[in-house]
Amino acid sequence: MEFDVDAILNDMVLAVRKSVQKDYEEAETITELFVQANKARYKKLAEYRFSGKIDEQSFKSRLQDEKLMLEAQFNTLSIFTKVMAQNAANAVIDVLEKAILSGLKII
Amino acid sequence: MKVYLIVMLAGFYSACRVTMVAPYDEHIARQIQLISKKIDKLYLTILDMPDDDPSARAYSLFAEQYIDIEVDLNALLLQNRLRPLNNESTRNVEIALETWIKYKKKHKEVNTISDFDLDLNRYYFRDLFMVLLMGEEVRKNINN
Repeated sequence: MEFDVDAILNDMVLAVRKSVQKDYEEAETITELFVQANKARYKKLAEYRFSGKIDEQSFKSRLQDEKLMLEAQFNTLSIFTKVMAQNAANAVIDVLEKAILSGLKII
Repeated sequence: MKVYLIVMLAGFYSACRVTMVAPYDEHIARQIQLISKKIDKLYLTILDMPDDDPSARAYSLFAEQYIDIEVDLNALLLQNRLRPLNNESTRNVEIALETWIKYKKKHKEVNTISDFDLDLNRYYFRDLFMVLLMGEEVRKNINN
């Protein structure tokens, strides 16, 4: 049975890097989408407040809603982070599994 | 011998998979899109009524649609609560429901709604439902 620990560890690092890199690019796109949507809403809200169309009380109430929006956005990014971690962990397990199988000459 | 090893490793492999989030649910994704459309339709319908005639935008004229959407949001919340490893999406639906009830209550109290309030509400829910949908769509990236 052959079992080169250094090679396996190296493969594990590469697997994690590949998995995280792919997911990270998509996470960046999602974050950018949220930022752009927030900017447009904040601009609209500021315009209505400056023109006096909404009063101070309504404005403060809207700001509370914006806090909830940020919470929701962070929740979604948290889901994505978990997906990334899950993918990376399973990529490592895949490497280990392949190493064991090939060490046993099963594959 | 080899067969036993393969069976054992297959068992080891499935037991060792890491699961941190609930998998993608197409039904929930469709529900989110459906509710988002209903909200947009309601706000556009009210916007179509004249802004200078408060009676044209009286709450009672739209109460049925408001309740229909609230029922859908309650159902979506229940579906999310029943899924394991799903705290974030559950909280997001709670936020959508809380905000929906808040805006409904305001319309009911004032018994009319201005163009700019409709505009802000419409954009808010459009963006919030995009966040909700993303929370589901990102699960498609799960490599299992």
